[in-house]
Amino acid sequence: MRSRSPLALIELLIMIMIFALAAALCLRAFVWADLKSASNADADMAALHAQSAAELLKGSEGDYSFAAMELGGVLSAAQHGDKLAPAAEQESLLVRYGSDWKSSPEADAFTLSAVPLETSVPGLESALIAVNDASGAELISFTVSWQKED
Amino acid sequence: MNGKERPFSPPAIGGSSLLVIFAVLCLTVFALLSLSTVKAGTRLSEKRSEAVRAYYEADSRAEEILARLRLGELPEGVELKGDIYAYECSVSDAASLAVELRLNGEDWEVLRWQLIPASEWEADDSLPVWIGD
Repeated sequence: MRSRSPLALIELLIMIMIFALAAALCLRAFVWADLKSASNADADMAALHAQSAAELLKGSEGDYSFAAMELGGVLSAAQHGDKLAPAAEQESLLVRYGSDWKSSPEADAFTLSAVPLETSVPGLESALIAVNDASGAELISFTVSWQKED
Repeated sequence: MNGKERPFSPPAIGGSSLLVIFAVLCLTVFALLSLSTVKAGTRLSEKRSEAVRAYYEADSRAEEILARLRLGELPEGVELKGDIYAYECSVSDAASLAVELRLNGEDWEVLRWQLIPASEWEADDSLPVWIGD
């Protein structure tokens, strides 16, 4: 009777190849899912921090210094553009976050910016709040407004 | 020919094959589960971001109307109920921001700045749930 050892060996080799192929495909899926999950968590955190900045600006009636102090950010000169406030003395808020979403001046994983916007209604102030990641991709952005008290 | 037929033996599918098939099936199922979880998480995250954007958009519209009222204008959509100015700004199909203001001398008092459901609440009492003794 012929030995079945070569047949068993071939079977084992084929099964190892199939397993390796399936494992490689599934591993790719797992890695993609993990990256996407981390990106979703970052988007959620970006929304939370943007909301905090918006409410601080609304609550303090546009006190950028107060918001910068509370959020651990810095004030910088407002960027000028067609849509942005032209007043040179107006400041914008910049908060840098690390990958753990802790604010630090040296961190560079995410940045939150609040830039004053020009409004057409006297007595109304607005700011564009945006959160970007290190590559510059925007995670969230919206406009927040409040009343300017005389 | 030796005159004696060899008995037919089925192709050998050993334990290793069964084990690998089981492992591959498990891997595939777990991969599909993780992908569907992430897809649901992405949808939730997008909805959350959209809800935040929509709320602040409506809030900005409401602030603009308040600013116009402070200037002495009566913007469209503002109803005057006695001495109370009321208006709503739509946030989404399901919610809107309801605002009520009162003018006290020169100051505008905010009586209501509330996110409310756009449609009436319809209680579902079709299930016989336990409501206590």
